[in-house]
Amino acid sequence: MSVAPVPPSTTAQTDGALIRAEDLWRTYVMGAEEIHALRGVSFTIAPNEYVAVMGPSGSGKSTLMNLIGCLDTPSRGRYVLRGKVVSEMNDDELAAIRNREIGFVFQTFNLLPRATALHNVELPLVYAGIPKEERLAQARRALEMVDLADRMSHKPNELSGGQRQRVAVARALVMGPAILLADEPTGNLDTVTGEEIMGLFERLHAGGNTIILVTHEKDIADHAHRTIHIRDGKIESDEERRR
Amino acid sequence: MTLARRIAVRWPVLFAMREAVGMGLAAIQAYKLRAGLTILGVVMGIMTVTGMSAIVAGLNASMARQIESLGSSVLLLRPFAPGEHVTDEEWRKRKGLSMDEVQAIAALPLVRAISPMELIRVEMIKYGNQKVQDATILGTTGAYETVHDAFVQKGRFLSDVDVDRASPVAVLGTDVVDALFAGLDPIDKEIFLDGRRFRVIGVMERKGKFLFQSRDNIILIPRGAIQRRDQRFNFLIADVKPLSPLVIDKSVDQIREAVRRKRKLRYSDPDNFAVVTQDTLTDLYRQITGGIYMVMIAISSIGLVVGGVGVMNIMLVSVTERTREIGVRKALGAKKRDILWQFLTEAMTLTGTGGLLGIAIGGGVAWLVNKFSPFPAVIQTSWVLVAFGTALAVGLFFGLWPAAKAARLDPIEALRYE
Ligand SMILES: Nc1ncnc2c1ncn2[C@@H]1O[C@H](COP(=O)(O)OP(=O)(O)O)[C@@H](O)[C@H]1O
Ligand SMILES: [Mg+2]
Repeated sequence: MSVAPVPPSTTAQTDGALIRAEDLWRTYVMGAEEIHALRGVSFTIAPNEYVAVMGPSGSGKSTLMNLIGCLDTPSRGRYVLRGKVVSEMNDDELAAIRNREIGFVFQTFNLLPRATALHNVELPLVYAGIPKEERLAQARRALEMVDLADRMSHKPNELSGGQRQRVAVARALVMGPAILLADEPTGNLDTVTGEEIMGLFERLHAGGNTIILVTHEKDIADHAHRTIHIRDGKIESDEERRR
Repeated sequence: MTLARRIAVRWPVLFAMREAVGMGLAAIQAYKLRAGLTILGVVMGIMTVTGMSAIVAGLNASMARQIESLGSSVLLLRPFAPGEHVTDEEWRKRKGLSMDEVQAIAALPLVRAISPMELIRVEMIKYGNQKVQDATILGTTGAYETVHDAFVQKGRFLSDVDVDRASPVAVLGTDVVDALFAGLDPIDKEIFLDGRRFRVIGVMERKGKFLFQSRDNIILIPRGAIQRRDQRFNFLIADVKPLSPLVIDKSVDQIREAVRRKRKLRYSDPDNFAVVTQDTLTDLYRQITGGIYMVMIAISSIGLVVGGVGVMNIMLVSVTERTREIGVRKALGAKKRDILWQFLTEAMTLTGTGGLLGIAIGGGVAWLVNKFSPFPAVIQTSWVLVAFGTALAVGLFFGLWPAAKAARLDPIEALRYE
């Protein structure tokens, strides 16, 4: 599936927007001090976009990812995901959204150390209440998709870094989420393995997935088709790039 | 949606039970010593319940059988009720029955038969060179047979003539026969009770045991055949058989009234004798087993609380150590109740394991008691289920705080936890 490049201004107005962030603020209160990690961030992301979020350390990238990933709710502003106003949801509704609409890939993989690759991938399906047989079949398919069919019963410590991250990607994708969110997915990998994961992302994007990734490496960001730069909790630039 | 599917969607963790149970077992492996101590507490508690309930139930069953075997509806007339508390003065004043009273009772319309009995103390029972020392010697009448449903298997029982004449004749229980006669036919043989000559006229049927005591180690002689010397033991007691088991209560009333009248007790005076029924014995016995149950519950409570606190400790450590895992699970869509149930299941796996061990050990103890002691322990399925349920409940209760702590964790904080 190929996506015709669209200018950002048009995208922002499209009603078919997957994500609509309107003036998002996130303020942490630490004693008497208030830290504004995000200060009024607005953007829209359409289905099947491939977005990189860049910015210096402490600029608010992870905070933004947490909001997009429904792990957190904004202090102010509105966040609409697939037409649903996430910023007004309660904990259980957020959990359900995370389960169905979001696939997380973390810098540190965050696999359960005692569980096999298959079981790690199965987890989101468990929380979706999918029966055992179906669960296993889906988890196997997801692992095949990341070329780990032969490593299903391995535990994380029996896998290489790249393989672990592929397990994490399979886990993120197993529910068929609307967005794949990756916070520095290559941060703990060597360059070659990092490229391997980026290749996988490329394939997933080509397959129709929407991907948002945080990175501070230019080389990694170059894989994306749009780059949002953040500084001090504000969007500094938002560029669509023809490839 | 099918029901299973609906449950699966609402309670996904029920479908991930195996995982949580596995985690619980893994926790046992990971914290062997602590888990061991924790489980030990639960094991002690559950073992106590399983074992003691089996023993008590065994006692119950045999006791019920034994009380019943006393005769379906025999009333015991005694100077004291079993377990009755009396003052020293009262103790000295209490008297046995008089033959006058016995006759008055015999004449009551609801009384079928009354068997008066006097306990006779004899130092030495001899036949030739064979001796017996500890047999019970009762001076009684022919009514003994009717009242106790106890009959001779050989020879004859005491007759009215024997009693009237206080003849030196004796009917023996099988234990006495075995001890004195070793295979010989005892009928018409002469035995000596402290030097007094008695002719054996009959042998009773074997009765078996009551309260772990043989009822066949007995010698029945006519009342008055041996004059009692020590007045302190001057107790004539009697067992009474009412007309039918249906009139037990009424016959008790009649007997009490008759004795009270004979003794000229005033309205306000309490009975200075006791009419003991099967119910009295059963009640007394219930008091004793009730006490045993209290002890059982006390011991097991201590064990369970110790175990429960241990479980809470392990679970708190486990929640802290697995903070990141909890964050990951939440990121993947686990709801609060999913996390709550996961940790509750783990806690219950810990205590449930202890419970199963406790049941196994308690069952083993009961089996050994049954095999090698006179107590007929019977394992009680209901108590075993209660015990196991209690073990799970302890896990549930003491796991609640750690599990709630886990469920409340903020996903972002949890994911950042090092
Ligand atoms: N839980 C928190 N409590 C207080 N301050 C926080 C918290 N999380 C992030 N911050 C602050 O918010 C700002 C943005 O953090 P973050 O989004 O993690 O930045 P980035 O991922 O771009 O490095 C930083 O100044 C950080 O210290
Ligand atoms: Mg960050």
